[in-house]
Amino acid sequence: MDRPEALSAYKSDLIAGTVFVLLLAAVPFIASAIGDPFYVRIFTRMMVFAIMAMSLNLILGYGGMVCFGHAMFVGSASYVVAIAGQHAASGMPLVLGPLSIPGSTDALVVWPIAVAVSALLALIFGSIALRTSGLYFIMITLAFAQMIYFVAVSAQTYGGADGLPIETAPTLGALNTGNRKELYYIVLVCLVGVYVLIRQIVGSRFGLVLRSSSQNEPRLEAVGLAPYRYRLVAFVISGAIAGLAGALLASSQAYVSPADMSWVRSGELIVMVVLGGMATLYGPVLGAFFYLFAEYALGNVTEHWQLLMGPLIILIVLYGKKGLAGFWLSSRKGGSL
Amino acid sequence: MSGSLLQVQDLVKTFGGIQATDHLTLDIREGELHAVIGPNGAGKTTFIAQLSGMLQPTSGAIRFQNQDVTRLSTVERVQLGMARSFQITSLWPALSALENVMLAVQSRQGHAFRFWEKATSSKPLREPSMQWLRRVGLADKSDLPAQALSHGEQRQLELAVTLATEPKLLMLDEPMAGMGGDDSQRVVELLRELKSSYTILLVEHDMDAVFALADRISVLVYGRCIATGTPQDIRQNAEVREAYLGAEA
Repeated sequence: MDRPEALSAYKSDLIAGTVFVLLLAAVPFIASAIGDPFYVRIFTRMMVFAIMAMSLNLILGYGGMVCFGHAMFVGSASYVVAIAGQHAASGMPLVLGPLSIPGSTDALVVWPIAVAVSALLALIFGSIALRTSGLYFIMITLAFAQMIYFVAVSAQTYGGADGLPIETAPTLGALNTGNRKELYYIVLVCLVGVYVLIRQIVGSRFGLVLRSSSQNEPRLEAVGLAPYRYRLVAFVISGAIAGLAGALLASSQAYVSPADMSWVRSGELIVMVVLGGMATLYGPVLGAFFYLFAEYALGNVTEHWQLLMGPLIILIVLYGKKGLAGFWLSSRKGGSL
Repeated sequence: MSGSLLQVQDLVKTFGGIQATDHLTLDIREGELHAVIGPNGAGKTTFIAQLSGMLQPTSGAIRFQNQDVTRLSTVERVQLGMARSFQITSLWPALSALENVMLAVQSRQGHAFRFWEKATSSKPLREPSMQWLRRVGLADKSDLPAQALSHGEQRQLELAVTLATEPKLLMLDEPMAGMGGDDSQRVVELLRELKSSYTILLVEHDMDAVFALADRISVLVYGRCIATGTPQDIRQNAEVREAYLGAEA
C-alpha cells in the first residue's frame, strides 16, 4: 500500500541500520585486536547515551515537550542500582517506614525497580509539569530536576556530593555486568530494543496523536482528542526508558554521582537530540555518538575542547536541516521519518 | 421541519469595551443548512469560536440537543457531535493527508492508546479514512504531507478532517475562503451532497454559494442578528439591504 519511494527509503534505512549494528557488534573484537580495550568502554558509554537521547527525543522531538530535566530520570535509576548494591554489600536492609527492603545485585530485580522508579517520577512530575507549556514547561522540569539533584547531594548516607561507588556489579542471569564485554553486548541489545520500541510507538495510533499534538494542538481538540493524557503517557514511557539507560550507566561507570542528574547533563542530552536530528528515529543515536566522540577526540587535542565543540554544533545545526540525520535523509530517496 | 438541534440564547461576548457578540439569539433546525452572513467584523468567527468551545461567552447559553453545552470544553462538544472547520486552514502540516484524516477517525473510534500496530497499515483506521479522502476528492494525494497540497486541496482536506469526526452538526467557517472558481464550485457541489445527511451551519462570504445552498440565512451586523429567514426573505428584507447588501441587491 505504501509508495515505492517510501519502501526504498525503508529498505535503505534497514540496510544502514543493520550495518551500523553489525559494526557495533564488532567493536569489542576490533578493540582486542588492536589491544585497546578502552574503546569498549567509550562505545558502551556512547550507546548508553544514545538510549537516553532516544528517550528524550520521544517527548522533545515527536511530542514537542522541551524537558530540561531529563537527567533526573537517568540519575534516579542509577541511584536505585547503586543504593541496592550498597545495602546488599552491607547486609543492612533499606528501611522505609514499615517497609524493610533488602539490598540486591540481581539485575533482573534491580533494573526493573530502577525503571519503575523513573517511570513513577515521570508520572508525578509530568502530571504537574504538563499543565504548563512553552517556557514554563522548560523551567518547571528544570526545577524538578534540581530538586532531585539536591536530594542526592544532601544524602550523606549515599555519598552526598561525592557520589556512590558500586562495588559489586549486578548480575543478569548468567551474565555479569562487571565484565566489560558482557555489559557491552547487554547495552547493544537494549539499544536495538529501545530503537524498535520507539519506532513502533511513533508509527502507532498513539504516536500519531503525539506527533500531531506538537504540530497543531487546537486542531487536535477540534477533532475531539485532548492531548494531555497522551503527553503524560509519552512522558512516562520516556522516563522509563531513561531509567533503563540510567541502570546501564550505573553499571558501566561502577559509580553514580549527583553529576549524573545535573542540569548540565540534561542540557547535553538536548544538544545530542538537536544535533542528531529531532523527530527522526536514528538522529539521537547519531547525536549521542557524535557528541561523545567529539568530546573524546577534541579532549585529546586540548583541555578546552568545548571551545571547539561549540562552533562545530552551530555549523551542523545551521547546515543540516534535521541535524546529522538530515544529511542521511537528503542523501537517500523517499520520505522522512 | 423537525425540532431545533442548536439553540443560542442571548449570547454576549465582550472584549474589553467591544461587544463582538451582542445578545445573539438563533436556532438551527435539524437537517437544515443554515448560513450566517455578515460584513467583515460582524463577529462571525467569534460566534463560531463560542459554539465550538474555543471561546467562553460572557453571558448567554448554548444548547445542543436540549443539553446545555455552554461550559463544556471543545473536546466534550466534539464528542457530542459538534464539529467545526477553520477559516484559516488548520491541519497538521508535516503529517500526510491520510494521517490528518486518521486523527479524526481515531477520535471517533474512541481513544488512541495503541502503541504497537502501525497506524497507516491498520485496516479499521485506514479504510474509513480513505473513504473520507475519496469523498472530498483527495484519494490520490493520501500519502502527501498536508503542507505539499495546494491551497484548494488543503481546504478540501480541512473539510475531510471535520467530516471524519462524524458530527451531527457541521460548523463550517468559510470553507471556500481563498478558493478559485473551479475549486469553490467543487465545494458547493460537495456541500449540496452533504446537506442531505448533515445539519450544517455555514459561515461564508461567497453570496452566490450561500443563496444557492441555504435553507435559512441569518444576517449578523456588529455582533447582532438583524434578520433570519429564507433566502427569499433575506433578499427582500429592507434592513439587510441597507446594512449589508447595499446597492448590490
